[in-house]
Amino acid sequence: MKLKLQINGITKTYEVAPHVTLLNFLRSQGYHGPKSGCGNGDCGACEILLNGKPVNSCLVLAAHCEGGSILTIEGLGNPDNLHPVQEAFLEVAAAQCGYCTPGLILSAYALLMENPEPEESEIREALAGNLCRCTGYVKPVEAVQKAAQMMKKKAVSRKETESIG
Amino acid sequence: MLENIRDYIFPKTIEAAVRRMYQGAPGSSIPFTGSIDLVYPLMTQAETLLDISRLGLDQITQKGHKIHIGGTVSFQQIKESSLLQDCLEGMIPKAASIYASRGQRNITNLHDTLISGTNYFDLLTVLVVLESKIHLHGKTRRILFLEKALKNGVGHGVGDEIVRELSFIKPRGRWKSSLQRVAVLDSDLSILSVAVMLKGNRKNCSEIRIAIGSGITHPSRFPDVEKYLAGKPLKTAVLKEAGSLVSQAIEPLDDLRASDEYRREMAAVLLEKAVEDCLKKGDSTR
Ligand code: FES
Ligand code: FES
Repeated sequence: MKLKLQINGITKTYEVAPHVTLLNFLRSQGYHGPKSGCGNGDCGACEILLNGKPVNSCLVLAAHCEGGSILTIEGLGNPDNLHPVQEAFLEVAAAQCGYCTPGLILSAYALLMENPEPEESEIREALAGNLCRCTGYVKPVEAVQKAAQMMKKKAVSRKETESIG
Repeated sequence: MLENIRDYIFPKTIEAAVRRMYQGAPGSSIPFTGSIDLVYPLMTQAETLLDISRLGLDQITQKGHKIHIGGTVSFQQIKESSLLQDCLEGMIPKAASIYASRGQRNITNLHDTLISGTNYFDLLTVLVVLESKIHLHGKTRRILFLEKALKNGVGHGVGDEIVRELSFIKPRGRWKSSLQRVAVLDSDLSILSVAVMLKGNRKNCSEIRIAIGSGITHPSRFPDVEKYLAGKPLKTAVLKEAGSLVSQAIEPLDDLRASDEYRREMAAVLLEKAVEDCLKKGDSTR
């Protein structure tokens, strides 16, 4: 069947079988950010944003996303131009093997988009669906706090530039 | 995996989806809301998935005194709903938020919960205590009490009904409420949950509703225990007796999360805690 999707800002029409999960579909298209962990909705390694909301892509069928927009970690930033959340994860060393990291970063990004100054408890709640077996959660929480500050600073300096300009 | 699925359709109306559901063999075309999580067993028998997620069943509304929760409203929407927050001190959003993570709550809804016969969510315990009704659309349209639907099953085991909505009368007057649960971790599925709505004070219980769910065959009310408590002072001895009645009345599961014996004990403990919690929230006689 035909599937029209916007992935990381690029809209295309794809051919997909009706039973294929979004995770398998994305990986087959070269988006390897979302990982397969449990395949069961429990670990968050496969997390992406569907129409702006975090979802476990192992549990959703690609066909269901017709006409929708998807953000994977590849669309958030790139090695030359990292998103502040990615920068913060690097700076505080919030990753070891990195398997859980795309999911964690997207959860953090979704949180900061709706709540730019989250409490620690809100950060923990937002990351609750992302299991990390090597780093643990102290560093990721710290990274989200740092990302919040960085994003605030960026927003302030953008405003200042705009008013000067 | 799921290669039996040949077709994926977005029906334009609920009626069109229902017509299609009854065209082939039972269970060959099933309503689908996007996630395979709860409905996977039904999907293994299906050839066509009818995606009903865009038919406007994703609204939470209030009409008069009635609150309506559309079948495809996600648990996360319930968690974030200010309309529901305003009802019974936020007991419904609290129950929805207990389940799993945001990523999962965004794709889990009451439709899938009910057609898959998934009885263990605390949200169902709360909806049962609220005397919710379920609106089903299949060969016929049925409206029945959720408690009865949970007992008898929805979708005849093959997913041949659409859950249009759940509705309940917004509690008026001074109801106090409490949801108590026992689970290994806060975000784990409950071993048992007890929801109570209470009018009265320590000296006199004028009205009480008790629902127990999660670790029993299906979430249920306990009218005999409610009758026992009505009109009585809520003293320790009375609550102990109510606890023992409820322990005897429940049909607990005996599974990997807890034994039936443990659940019987916990039913009494949680009932007492729920009543005490309601009383702590103030006198609700006036
Ligand atoms: S792989 Fe999807 S949640 Fe674990
Ligand atoms: S960094 Fe290895 S699982 Fe999280």
